[in-house]
Amino acid sequence: MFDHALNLPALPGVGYKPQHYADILKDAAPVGWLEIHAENYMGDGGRPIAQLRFLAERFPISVHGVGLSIGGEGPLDTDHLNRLKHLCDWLQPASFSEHLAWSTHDSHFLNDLLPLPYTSATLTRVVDHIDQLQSHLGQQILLENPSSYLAFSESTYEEPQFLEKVAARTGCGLLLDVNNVFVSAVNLKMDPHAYIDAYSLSRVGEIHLGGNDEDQDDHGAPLLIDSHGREVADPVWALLDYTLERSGPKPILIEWDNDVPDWETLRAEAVRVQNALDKVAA
Amino acid sequence: MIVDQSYFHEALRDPAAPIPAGLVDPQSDPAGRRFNVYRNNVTTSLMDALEDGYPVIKKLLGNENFRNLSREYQAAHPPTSPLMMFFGGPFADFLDGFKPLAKLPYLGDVARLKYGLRQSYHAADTTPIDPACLGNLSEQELLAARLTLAPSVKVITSKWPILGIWQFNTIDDAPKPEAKAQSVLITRAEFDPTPTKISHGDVEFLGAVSQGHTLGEALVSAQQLEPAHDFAALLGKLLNGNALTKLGDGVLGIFQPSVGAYAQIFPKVMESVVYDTSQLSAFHWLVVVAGTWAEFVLPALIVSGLLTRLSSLGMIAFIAVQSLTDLYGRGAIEHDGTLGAFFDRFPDAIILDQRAFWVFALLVLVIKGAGPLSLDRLLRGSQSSATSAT
Repeated sequence: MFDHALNLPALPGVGYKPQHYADILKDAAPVGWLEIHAENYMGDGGRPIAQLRFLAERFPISVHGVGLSIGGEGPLDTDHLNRLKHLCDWLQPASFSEHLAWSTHDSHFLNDLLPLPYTSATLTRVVDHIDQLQSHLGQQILLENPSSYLAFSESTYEEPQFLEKVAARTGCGLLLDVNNVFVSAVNLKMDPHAYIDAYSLSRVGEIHLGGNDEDQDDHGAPLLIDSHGREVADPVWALLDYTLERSGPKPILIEWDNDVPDWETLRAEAVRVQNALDKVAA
Repeated sequence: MIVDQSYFHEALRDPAAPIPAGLVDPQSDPAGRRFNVYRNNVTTSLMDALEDGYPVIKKLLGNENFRNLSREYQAAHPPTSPLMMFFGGPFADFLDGFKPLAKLPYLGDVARLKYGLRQSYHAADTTPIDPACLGNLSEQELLAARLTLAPSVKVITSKWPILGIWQFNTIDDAPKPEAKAQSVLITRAEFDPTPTKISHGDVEFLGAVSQGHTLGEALVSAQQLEPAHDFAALLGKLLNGNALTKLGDGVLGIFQPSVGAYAQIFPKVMESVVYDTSQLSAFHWLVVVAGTWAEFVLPALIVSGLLTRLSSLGMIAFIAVQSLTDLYGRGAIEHDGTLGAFFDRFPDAIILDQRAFWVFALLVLVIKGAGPLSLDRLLRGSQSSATSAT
């Protein structure tokens, strides 16, 4: 459908943080690509843009949008679509991804990824918005599964089934966040393996991993929070292995956005990703 | 039970609002505090963003006061853009109007200074003027010149010692701020915005310059306000901060080409005469004056469709002269491998190719004349209708 092929390498990647700039340029191995949040590179110039230009000459870059509100009931923000287009035009990223979520209501930006009911009304709306986004950017996008803390009683689709329908209708690819699968599975008492089994792995262009925090709901049941503020939890690594056995090697990102650690700590996570990839490459 | 986004949104913003009934836990019981994860994410992520944006205000108020204030601010100014780098723009105005903090009237201006630094950090990159260019102007030329400030330049005026307060709270062993009004100039030489104290006269001067007044006019305003205004000191700050991007001339300057115009067209010659235009020949003067005129007047004629054939022909001549000066005046002919790079920053664009395309488009106008939407056609129309009426 789009000429622009997804070409992130099946290697470990990390979410780029400016404090790691010098370390990354010195020796990034085994990190083979970087991901940025689109909204952090929408200033007119200065250091962020200069650093990104420099990095983009050395690494494949994945642009990850966190603010388009694809699941929003209102129309997509055309100013924001234009900003995304401008960024993708000069940067020519290897991949562009966004979330199955909403974050803007009546022009009020909520700075969080909010959940959607999986109904045919939502499906129609999300499909329309992704069609609009892909034709605006002129490239395929990847859509990421959210982490859930609650469910909508009105939902009529399971999440993997819903994502498959969106992908089939729009031609978009999927970004599988394995930590989100685990978080949602614990929070909503689902089997994470059944989720992976139902997920359309052939459409996956990228995998995300991140740390989560543990809390409790009103009944004392565990409630995991997708915090991106620590190491990836052991059961999530196990779920990654389970996924890779079925999907084969994929580009895999470590997301660590809060309490950002030093480079060595982040690199250690990337090494674990490399080990997981090595197991399936052989 | 359908939970639309208006309903969800209302419950998010008001912690006392009931949690929408269609939101459930795995037992299909009401979601309860699970919903608070979203409430908490929204509030704390915006609090963190405001804290990152205004660390000095947080330090001055203390952590808890700042977080309470942050809640009030979010309620009053919910963000309308997903660009968190500009979250908190109206925070300074909010602080000015926040009654419980009336005892700390300087907070607003300190916030304004911090936001100015942030805007400067993200402002567009520009190429500064070469100071040598300025140094070789005659006094008359200098006074008639118009300066353009870089987008990273900001001026923050205040009744309070805002720079002193800011430095005292960000730099170890900075002196205690003196109780004096301070205005601040922000410049960004490369990537790091730097604030410096400036005088009332400087503020007046920069205001006049950014409104498009000539340097002479701006100096007069500055001196009226501050008789001992030290322009040299300000100019030093501006040049060190790469704050000047363009040296233009007045409306009448189109007859009297600026040093900048000479330097743009004949950089090699200008270098050899150390930017002294009096050493140049009448030929150079003619090329520069004609070039400056042609560049402004001819396109205007073509667009409005007045004297279309003649002005298109003139524009073709302009392109020819321009290409020759690019090749010989600027020495592009010596770099045949990278010819294109000199002109449009498209290293693979072939100069002749591109210029030939422009000439071709203009040639069409020379041969065919203006179309129906042109002053030429309008004038001819009124002429012929006048003729037919007689």
